[in-house]
Amino acid sequence: MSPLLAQFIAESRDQLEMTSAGLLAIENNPEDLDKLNEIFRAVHTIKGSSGLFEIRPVTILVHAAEDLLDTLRSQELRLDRRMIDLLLDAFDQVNQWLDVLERTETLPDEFETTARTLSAPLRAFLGNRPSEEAAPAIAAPTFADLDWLGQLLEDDRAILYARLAGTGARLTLFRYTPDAQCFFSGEDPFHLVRQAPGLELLAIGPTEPWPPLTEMDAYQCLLCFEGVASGPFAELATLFRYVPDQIILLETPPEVLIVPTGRHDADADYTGFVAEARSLVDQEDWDGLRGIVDALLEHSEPEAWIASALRWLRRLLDQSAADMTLRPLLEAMHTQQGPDWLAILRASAEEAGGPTAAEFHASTAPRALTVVEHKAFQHIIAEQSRILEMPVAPEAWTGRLLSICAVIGNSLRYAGHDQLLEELEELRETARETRDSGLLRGLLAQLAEAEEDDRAENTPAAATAQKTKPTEEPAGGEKQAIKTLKIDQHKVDRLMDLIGELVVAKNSLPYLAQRAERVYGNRDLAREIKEQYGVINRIAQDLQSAIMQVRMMPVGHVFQRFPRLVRDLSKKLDKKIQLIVTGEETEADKNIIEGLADPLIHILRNSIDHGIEPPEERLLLGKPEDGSIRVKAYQDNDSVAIEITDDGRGIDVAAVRDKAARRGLVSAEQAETMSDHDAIQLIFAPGLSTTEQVSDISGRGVGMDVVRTSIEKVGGTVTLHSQPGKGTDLRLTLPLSMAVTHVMAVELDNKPLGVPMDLVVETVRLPPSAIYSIKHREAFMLRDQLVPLARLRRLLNMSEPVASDAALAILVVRVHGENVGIVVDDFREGMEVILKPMEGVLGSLRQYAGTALLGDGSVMLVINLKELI
Amino acid sequence: MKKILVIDDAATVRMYYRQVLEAEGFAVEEAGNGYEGLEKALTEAFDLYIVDINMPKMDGYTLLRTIRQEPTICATPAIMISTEGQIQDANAAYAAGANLYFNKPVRPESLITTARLLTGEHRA
Repeated sequence: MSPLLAQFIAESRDQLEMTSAGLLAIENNPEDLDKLNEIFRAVHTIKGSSGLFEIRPVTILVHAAEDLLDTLRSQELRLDRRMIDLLLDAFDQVNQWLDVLERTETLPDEFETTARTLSAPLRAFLGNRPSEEAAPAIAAPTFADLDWLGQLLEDDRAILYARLAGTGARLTLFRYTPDAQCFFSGEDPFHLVRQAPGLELLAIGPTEPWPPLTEMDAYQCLLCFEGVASGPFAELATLFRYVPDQIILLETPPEVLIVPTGRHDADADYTGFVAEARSLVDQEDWDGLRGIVDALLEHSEPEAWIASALRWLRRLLDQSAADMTLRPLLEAMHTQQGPDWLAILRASAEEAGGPTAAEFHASTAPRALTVVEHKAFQHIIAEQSRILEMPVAPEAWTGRLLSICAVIGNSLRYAGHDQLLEELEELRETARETRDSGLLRGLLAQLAEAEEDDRAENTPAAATAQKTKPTEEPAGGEKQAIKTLKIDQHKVDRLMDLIGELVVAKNSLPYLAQRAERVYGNRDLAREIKEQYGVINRIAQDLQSAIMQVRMMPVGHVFQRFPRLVRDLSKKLDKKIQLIVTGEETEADKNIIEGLADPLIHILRNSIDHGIEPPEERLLLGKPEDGSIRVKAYQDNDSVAIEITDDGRGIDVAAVRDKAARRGLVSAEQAETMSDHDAIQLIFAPGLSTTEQVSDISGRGVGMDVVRTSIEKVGGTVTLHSQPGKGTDLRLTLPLSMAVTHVMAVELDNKPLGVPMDLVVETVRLPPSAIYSIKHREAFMLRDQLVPLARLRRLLNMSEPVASDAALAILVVRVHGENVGIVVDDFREGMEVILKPMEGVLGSLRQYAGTALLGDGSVMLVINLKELI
Repeated sequence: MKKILVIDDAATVRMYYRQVLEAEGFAVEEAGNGYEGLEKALTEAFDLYIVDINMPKMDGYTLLRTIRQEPTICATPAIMISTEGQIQDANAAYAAGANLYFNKPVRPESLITTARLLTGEHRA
């Protein structure tokens, strides 16, 4: 995807999020004009940027929204709930289109219908205000290129061109692709084409390569009519008005007929010829040019592309066409492609109206300028005159004068009118002193009218105009803008990686100190190295925490979506719910925040759908009519806690017990005897959902087990309390950051192996005699509890060491809520590492959580115990 | 190398101008609102300002009026480009101190040609 489109999608998503949040805010406070302005600006930005891409559906819809917001902003209309609903719907749609755009990089045309359908009610509020967008709404189809003109015979084109060149007449190009089934609706495409006023040239070809004759459906029209007509454009448009989707029309000057055709000679290089021809054109030495064209033509094979180009050059010379037509052809000979008249025309059409055929022949343009540049030059000069006529505040008078003179000076210099710069400078100084720009206006008028005279002399002017550019540094004004920077996350990750490497490199210093002392016997040097190590170590740690800070973002980022969710769902369910959010500013690592969004939304949906009772039921129960859901985030030591509390009906323990027993998650007996608290925890078990019917809101086939899994994936835990009739209280605890992992290193086969520290309960050493064998499993007693035992070597398919009486090193870990002892060769230290997941071919090895670089430069594997056991 | 300051609150639009102009050998700096634009204009010399109208903190009109009254930078050419398509916008732009007015979106060819003319930059 082009970076520009990616930028547009990202920026628009931000703006839409802001807009939706803003709309909800002004719904409660319709007088907040600042907010309304902010929303308007966001929408305005999307509309403005959308014009850079071919995404009309977005432009149309956003434009309608913008117009409505503009009216609200100017207080011609008052905001009501329905408008907000419609606007939210519109922005949701745009958001969806952005997703499509991200996947496919284009939007299907049929979305335009949706855009208009959604725009209509928005525009309806505006009454009879004209829709600016209405006029260009039907984007006329246009030719992708004009290469097809080459299939018309060169001589035919030449005759037509000779007739029209210089007369100011315009041609209409058309391509008519009748519907394949047109014969069945009584149409006669060929007859229609022959009606074209002033039909000059026509080529009929297949729309696609025809199938073998035996397979061909003779009742289908597989033809495409391409041609050139000299009749009035309007008459042609009228003729084809009933087949708007099958016709492309383009009005052009006759120059488009100049298309060299023929066989390309890949080895040929005409750079020399083109250079010589260019200089002859510059000198207006037409005879000279004719001479070299003839010479080269004689040496070229008639069917070669270059010969065709030369013949066209010759024709243009015979018709004494101006260099404005010769030049594109010369450029084409240089590249042996084109000329791309469509691009040339499009560029010219930029300026009002586009150039007429006469303008193509205009020889009034100064040498160095192309048609487009010449028009831009004239436009600039005209606008500066206009600006000078306008009233201006006295304190801005000088600034305006100087900027206008700078504009004129630069334009003159660009156009090669250097000889006028001195005069301009004098006029500027006079105007400045007398505060009268009359003389300057005179110069501009002269420039606009009589360029031809200036063109005569084109001597390099000695006068180099003085730049009016400031060089001195002004005293720094007050600076209060909050500077924020949007950074690609990969860049931060890269930084993180580099810091990881720095930490590793730093850890080699203690080894160096040891060597200095032991190998070279230099104790002083060793001490100095250690001191330096201390300094570098501190900086590295600061650096690490600073970069972690960059990755931190407020949990409010996820909470933003909640008001909308609660509003929409409660409306749908006819419930009244107050959402109270606190602690949005609490920060955690970006990955964790992002992993939090879906589980939190699921929890909220549950509360709204199942937790909070309908208002009438609440009143009967003596509860306030409005249910409340509180979302509270706060930092708790090294973790972030998020609590979601509702005052609804709580979880029906009996239903959970019953369901769990029926689904076979626990035995009927277990279900009966377990405590209420334990029973409620069963809702986290896979495959248990307490409502019988799948509801539209929360029952989407996933339950609380998914919530728990996603929270555990980012290293968090979930606890749940529920009181029947009083409500449910969920608490999520999450690590602040996932970037650094605490691991316990153990030894296996003389190599270190990491075990995530959060799973480690304790380490014990026991004699082999303390191990019981129960059937095929091993276990040992730890403080009166039987703990199953596993041997890491066996788990990893490594050979067993020779049995000995030495004490076994057992790491007690807690996996799947149960303590397990793991026999390792030996314990090493606990450490902080930057864990990198396994990639590529190794990515499928789920037994390993990843790798970490150690201080001595070696790589340590970190095992994934949850998979191993 | 000629330097252009692009002041527009839409990052996409800024990126578009940057892509088009840098490809033609201009140096491009960006500012996301009028205030930021003024700050940059005051600390660094530019050959051309390209200014949007509707922006947070300080709009394009205010920015241009301020620039035209600031002796060190008042002579720098400025183009105003906005989505509003009415003629009174061009007049308002000129009254504020713009030297040219365009409607969004501006075609690359047009932007390049205008930038070259207004900065006097010759093609390589």
